[in-house]
Amino acid sequence: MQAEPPWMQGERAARALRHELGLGIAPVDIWEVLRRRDVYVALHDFGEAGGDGLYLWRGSEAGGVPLIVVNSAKRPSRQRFTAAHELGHHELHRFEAADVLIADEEVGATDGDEREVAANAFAAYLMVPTEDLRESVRAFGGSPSPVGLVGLMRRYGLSYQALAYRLRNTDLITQKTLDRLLADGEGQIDRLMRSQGFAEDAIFPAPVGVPELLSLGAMTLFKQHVITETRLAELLGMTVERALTTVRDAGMDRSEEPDYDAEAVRELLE
Amino acid sequence: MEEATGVLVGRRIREERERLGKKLEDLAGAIGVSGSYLSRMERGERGLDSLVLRRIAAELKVSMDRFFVPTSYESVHARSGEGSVAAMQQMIEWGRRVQDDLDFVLREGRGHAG
Repeated sequence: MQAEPPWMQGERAARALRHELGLGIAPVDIWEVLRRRDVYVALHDFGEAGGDGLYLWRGSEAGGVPLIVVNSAKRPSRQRFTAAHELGHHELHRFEAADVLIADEEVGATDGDEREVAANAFAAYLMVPTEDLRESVRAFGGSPSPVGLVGLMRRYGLSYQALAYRLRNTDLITQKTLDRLLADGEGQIDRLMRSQGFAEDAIFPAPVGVPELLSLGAMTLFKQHVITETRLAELLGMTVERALTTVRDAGMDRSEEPDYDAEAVRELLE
Repeated sequence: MEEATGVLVGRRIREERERLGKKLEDLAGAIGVSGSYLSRMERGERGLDSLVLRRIAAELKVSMDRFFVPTSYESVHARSGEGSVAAMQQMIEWGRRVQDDLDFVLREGRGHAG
């Protein structure tokens, strides 16, 4: 029996996840999916020339801390696809004791490292289920124009190019139509988006900064006098002054000093 | 309890050292202890010294917390796009720090629940 090709593995995992979360075939907010999947997300500006993102897993049999890092300097649509791609690694590859893998791939690429192909197929199906895309294309009378494709950007939250390749990879358009869409869209996408009145970052807005659990947890530990203000600032990734303001704004400041040395008591108890 | 912690920390130091492909003698030299001292520490046969631990953490460029977390494996999948290898390494280091911080908050949070 022939082994399942990697793209099929990716698509199957995406179908399974959609089923498990009761998502049907509707477009999804990837950030919401990650939250429901208990995968932590951290966005950080690594510059436009930086990488797209990465998936880190560290754990034991008892569980682990999955983290997806996304470069917030990239376009929002690209950030979303990267997040979905990295979730693919979480669903498919987290139990593989891999060394550090750095993959360099193009949008729409379907060859190369098998794990990358699988993660791309996972992301493509999760973000744009074939069944839903087929319905969308039918609504265009079978041949989408650049204007129609921009409409799909709004529906799925992905880039023009990613959607054009997705249409081709699902055999919903011919290679000739793909080439035409890419050529006709050249330099026109931003204008078409404006004329349809939407901005990429307004749909499915991304979470900000470090995972919420980290900031809330750090503030709670500070309030309980477990960590110092310096450590708090370090965990929140900001200056001490700003960290103290953040804590105050969140209503998590230390209302009163403890009348005993909490650290000494803890050590005694241990 | 003390012995189990020592064994865990020792194993974690060895894992982090090997992850970077550093020889035991080189790490020992860099932190100013003998090879046999570090070797016994990695086997959990020596008491833990916070100063030595701090130096090891600095040398291996990891947070000290990391030595107290049982890690059987780690995987990193990076999507570089236009990013250079150096840029990706920087991103990975940043991610590892966030992960260390998450580990810390989760562990301390459990210890101080309620």
